[in-house]
Amino acid sequence: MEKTRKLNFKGSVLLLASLLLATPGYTQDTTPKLSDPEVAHVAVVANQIDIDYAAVAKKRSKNGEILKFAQTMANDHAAVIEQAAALAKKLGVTPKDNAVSKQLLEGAEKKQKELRALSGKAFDKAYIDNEVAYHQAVIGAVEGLLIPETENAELKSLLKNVLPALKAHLEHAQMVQKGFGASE
Amino acid sequence: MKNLYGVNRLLPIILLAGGMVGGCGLKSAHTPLRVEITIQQMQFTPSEVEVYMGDTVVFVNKGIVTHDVTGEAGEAWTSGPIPAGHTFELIAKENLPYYCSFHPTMKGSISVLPKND
Repeated sequence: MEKTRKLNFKGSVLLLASLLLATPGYTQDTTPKLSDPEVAHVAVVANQIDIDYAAVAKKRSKNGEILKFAQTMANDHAAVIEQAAALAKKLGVTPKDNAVSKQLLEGAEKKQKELRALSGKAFDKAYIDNEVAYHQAVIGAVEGLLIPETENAELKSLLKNVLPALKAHLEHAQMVQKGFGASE
Repeated sequence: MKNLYGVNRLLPIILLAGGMVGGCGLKSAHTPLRVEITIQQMQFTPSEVEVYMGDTVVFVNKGIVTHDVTGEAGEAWTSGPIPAGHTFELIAKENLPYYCSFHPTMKGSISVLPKND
């Protein structure tokens, strides 16, 4: 069930592009085509990236609030991946690698490298600032890109069900961020 | 969104039960009820409930992630993790403002009325 519609990178989706896909050549004119298996893969990768950030936090931070937040991110995003995997199996769909997921991973690797170079309060602040920015970007992408571009009703429903969790994560991250002094 | 459980919906049953008990010459009493609070879409629904002392409050996690029910008063009391698809029950004894310690933006409260005896 390959889709051929163009993706419309506007509004909040540009936030994802600017924050996560800071890859040379990736511009507003870029019009990748994503099938449902590719959308599913982007969703899985986006969740896995935050699990990986949490793993870095668990190694670098000694702050109780940061550690608890990171554990919640690891648990919640793992639960979403589990649901996505179960749905993919049910639908007989194999999540497929694509340009967006590759660029997500590239951006995440770069950010992880930055985080690993930090320690103490500087790390904690950088980690929680990134969690705020990352969740804002992912919410924008899910609402503005992945849901509109998904054809399968069950996959679309799963993406919609994940949104409240992402928004709760964002609010939680912003609460923690206040304790470290907002960066903007 | 406040609900007074055990009054409106069950009034006829309570009246009937009271009448039967009264007819036997026994003192009428509130029959403990089970009140359900659903955890879904990162919310406790209903977020505010009033119950009678001794009623059972059941938290049903219909969401996709693990939650808990933790007392607002310094985390002195917590249900422990309630995984997706699981439930947690408590017997209402005192007012309980609570939140989810994993997702602190999720809040609710249980107000406990004295036993009607």
